[in-house]
Parts: sequence; structure tokens; C-alpha cells
Amino acid sequence: MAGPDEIIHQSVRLKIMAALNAAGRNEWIEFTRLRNLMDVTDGNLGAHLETLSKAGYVTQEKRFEGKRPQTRIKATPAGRKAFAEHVAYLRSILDNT
Amino acid sequence: MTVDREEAGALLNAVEGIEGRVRQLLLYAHVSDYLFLWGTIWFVGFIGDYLLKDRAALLWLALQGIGLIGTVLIVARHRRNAGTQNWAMVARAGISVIAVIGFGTLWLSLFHVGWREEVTFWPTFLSFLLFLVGLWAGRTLALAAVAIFAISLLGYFVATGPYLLLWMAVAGGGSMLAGGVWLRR
Repeated sequence: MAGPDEIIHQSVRLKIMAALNAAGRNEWIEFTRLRNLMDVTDGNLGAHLETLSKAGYVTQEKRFEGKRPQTRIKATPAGRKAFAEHVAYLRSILDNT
Repeated sequence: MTVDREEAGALLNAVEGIEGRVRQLLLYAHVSDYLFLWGTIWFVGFIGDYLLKDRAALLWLALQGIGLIGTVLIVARHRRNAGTQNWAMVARAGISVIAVIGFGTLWLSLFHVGWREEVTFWPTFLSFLLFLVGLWAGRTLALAAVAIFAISLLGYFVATGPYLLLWMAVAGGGSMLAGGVWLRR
């Protein structure tokens, strides 16, 4: 059993990865929708996404939806794997105690 | 880093809560695509019915074909986005559309209902099916279905003569389009 993933373990980042993982493998989630799901500020979400991006766990894409700029986010395969392992680690704690 | 049992439990609960909300959002986005498609079809079809009168049968046939192809394409797109392209599921979506249209057409023929009942049947029948899905998928969807059902049924009682067709186009088709927008909020 792998140990905890220190990047994902932080509660907001864990929830971000949970949301992106629940979406399909080719599914993007808009920044504003993710912010509403997490109930955090733009700056807070942006900082956590930056951390996850640097770890290679998420990918961000900036584009225009009509004339409106839009940022959307997707979990990478490495991010999905790390998330699954971290959740398995958390479950093992519940199972073993 | 050490994680105790209490913290692990709380984090897993948070994960499950978020996963549930995301799945519901994706389902609503999926259903709203159908509402946009079929709301537009109803709008065009009933306006065509009003303008073309008895010659609208061909238009409805064409619109049903567009609805069938559109539904299959929506399912295919969502499966592709989910990363689980499944052609059996795409085929089932097409069969479902044919089954629903076939079921309604069969019973409308057997009951020999009048044109007002026939016009009112489809929006109320489809919104009833949508309501059943909403009972399992989420309150917003169920409420949208009830609103579409009520608006369509109201037309049967208040819209006289051929104005029922305009009612179904604007109120029936329009309420489906509005329901689609509401689900995407």
C-alpha cells in the first residue's frame, strides 16, 4: 500500500481531485464551476490548481467561449492514479484500525 | 505525515460528497442537451403544424428523424467525454427514442383520440418520463419536468382552437429550452 500523497492530502486539493476524477477521462470542468463546488475564492482555487499543475496532476486550458474567456481543468492520468492511491490509503486507515 | 482514523473518515466523506455533486452536475448537463434538442424540435414542429395544418405530417417525420440522430450523437459525445465510448449504449439510446415514439404512436392510434389530445399527449408523456428520471437523479430535474408537464397541460384547457399549437410551440417547447438553461446553471 502506497503512503499518503502530501500534495493531494490537503483538503481543498483532495476535493479538487475528487471532482475532476468523478468527471469523465475526457471531461473538463470550468474554473467557475469548480470554484462553486469547492466554495473557495478565485485566488485560493488558483493557488491550489497551480500546485496540482506543477505536480502534473491536472492540466489547465484557457480558451474563449464566444467572447468570454474561460479556464477549464482536467485531471491527468497521473493525477487520477495518485488520487486513487491516496483514497486507497485513507480507506486502509479505516480498515486497519 | 500521519493521518488518524477520524481525519481519514472525514476526508473520505468529503470526497464522496463532491463526487456525488459532480455526477449530478454532469447528468444535468447531459439531460439539458436533450431538452435543448427536443425543445427546439417541438417549437419548430408545432409552429409548422400551425402554419402548414394537414401538410405538417412530413415535417414531423423529418423532425423525429433529426431527434433520433441528435439523441444518438448526444449520447456518443457524452460517452466519449467520459472516456468510455460504448457503442452498445449509443445503440440503446437510438432504440429508446424509437420505442418511446412507437409506444406513443401505437396507443394514440388505438385510442382514436382527437387532435387536441394528441398534441397534448407528447409533451405531457415525455415530461412524465423526465419526472421519473428526476425522482432518482435530483430534485431540480423533477421540478423542471413538473413545470413542463403543468404548462403543457394548462394549454389543453386554456388555448382554444389552433392556438393550442402555438401554446405548445412557445410554452411547451419554450419551457423545455428554459428547463435546459435552468439545469445548466
